Amino acid sequence: MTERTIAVDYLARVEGEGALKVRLDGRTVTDVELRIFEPPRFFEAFLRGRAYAEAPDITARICGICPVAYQMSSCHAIERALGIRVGGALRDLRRVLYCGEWIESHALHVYLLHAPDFLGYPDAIRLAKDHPEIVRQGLALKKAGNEVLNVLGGREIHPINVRVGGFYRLPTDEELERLRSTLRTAVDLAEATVRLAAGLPFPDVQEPYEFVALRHPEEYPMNEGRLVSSAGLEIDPADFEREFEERQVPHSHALQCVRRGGGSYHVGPLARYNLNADRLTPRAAAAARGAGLGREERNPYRSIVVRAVEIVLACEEALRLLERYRAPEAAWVPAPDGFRGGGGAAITEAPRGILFHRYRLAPDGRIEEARIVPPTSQNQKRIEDDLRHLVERSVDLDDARLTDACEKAVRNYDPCISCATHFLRLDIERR
Amino acid sequence: MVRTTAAGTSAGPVVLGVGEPFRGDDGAGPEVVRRLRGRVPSTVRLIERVATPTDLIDRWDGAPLAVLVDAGRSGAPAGSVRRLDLAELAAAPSGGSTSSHGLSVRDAVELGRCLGRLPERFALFLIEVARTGTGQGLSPQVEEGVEEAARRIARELESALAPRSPGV
Repeated sequence: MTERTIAVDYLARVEGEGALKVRLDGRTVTDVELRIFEPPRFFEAFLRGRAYAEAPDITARICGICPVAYQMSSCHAIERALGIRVGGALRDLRRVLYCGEWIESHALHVYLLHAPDFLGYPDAIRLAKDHPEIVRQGLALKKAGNEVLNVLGGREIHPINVRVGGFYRLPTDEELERLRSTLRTAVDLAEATVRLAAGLPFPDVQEPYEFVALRHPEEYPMNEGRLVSSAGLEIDPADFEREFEERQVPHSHALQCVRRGGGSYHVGPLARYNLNADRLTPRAAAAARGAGLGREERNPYRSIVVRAVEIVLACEEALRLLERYRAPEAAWVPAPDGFRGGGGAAITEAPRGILFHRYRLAPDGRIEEARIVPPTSQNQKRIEDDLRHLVERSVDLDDARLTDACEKAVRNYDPCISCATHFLRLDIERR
Repeated sequence: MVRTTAAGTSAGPVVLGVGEPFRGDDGAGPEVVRRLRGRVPSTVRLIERVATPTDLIDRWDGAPLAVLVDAGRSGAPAGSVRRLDLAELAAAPSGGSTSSHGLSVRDAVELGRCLGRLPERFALFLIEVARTGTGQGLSPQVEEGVEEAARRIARELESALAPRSPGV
């Protein structure tokens, strides 16, 4: 028996610092480790003692790519604790802002990080040399997403305009008119993106995923809904910790989240699509049909097609909401009087999948405890399972080609490794 | 040096800061751009911090001159200021990518070149860092470098914007 080790010391085209190690004994895979060596970031610890109003801005700093997801999950969780209900135009504006983040994040991943894998290029620059029109299209879409963040978030990185109860400042009519015009063009670009993605060559792979995503009675999920899974789970987001648990593994600074008493599960575009295809907006649904997506889609490589469909959805939905928008009387809903302390939890759909936040607040509004479970720590175990299957069916490839195949399989998930590194517990042994 | 773009807006030179002010000297670029406020003509667009290198292309698109200010590490004494043009940047040894989602400033320039979206003229000012750990504030040598870079950029913009004598 010969032992063989495939090691990727630094994963390219993923957010943050990660590595990968696979051990083979003959034809048997003995170990698969997705190693996340971004240092732990202690966000949950340093939220303690801060005023609840600071949570959206502090947690937005966890990620430069999906700050809105952190702002939304923290606001919803805290609003549940305080008894604030945000509806009408403010709710719509939040959804538009989230659409902006999906457009920006998905366009970046589809065009600059993922498409080169299928078109046979090592990176987006080499792709741009031969096909500048493809990359131009991607950058134009990403820019449309940036503009939504600029207008509603106050700036495009680490937005500062979101607060518990709503926004600090409402957009002006002029800003919204500009945004509508940008989004009208962006929907067309997004449809072209689906056609491009649908034409890519995909390996024929089906994985037995348990998909987990939000599900809302009327809309494709972003901010609200019940948490459902393809295995029949259906719970209130506040019960997340009853069904899911985070575990420490020696090879990673990120905690791995798994089903309690079970194994890995899959969150993100593929999970959302499989559990919510009947909630797609009209043009997104048509684009999905045109791309040949079925009612069920279990090929992880085709996540690029689903991401593209979600860009159509986000553009279309943002435009629909902005067309019916009438400015509300106030930019935010204040907290009701008489808060005596308590907790709240919420889940929203970050571009990469569900993001759980839970807070316990003291009577004066200070945060006593915070818990954050980002999407990449939930997908981490599932990525390792995908890799195990990939290596098992590809043992005959030489090391270079096997390594390349593993890296591509990781990129199917658009992992955000810096988000996933946080620290739950520190054990000190004293004698 | 002010010209009209296809969209009808006037496009002057643009100065773009790159860096993270919460990582010590890495905030040198944004600080230089901040200090240029009030020291350069109003036709110059000053953008303190560009979110991601990919967005640089959108920011300098259509500009007759783009000046980029970033923190750098080359082994030179801390606070020293280097100016590179496009050819010098292309020839400089690659330090590898340290950016989110894998695009560096150099990659962004290369991508702009492939897409035919580079500014007409380009200058990159690099300020050598001393420390880039967590925390705000610049080290004293980098503080001096920031002031020097601001002076040199103001001068460069002044000469770029100076009306040319007829017949010259």
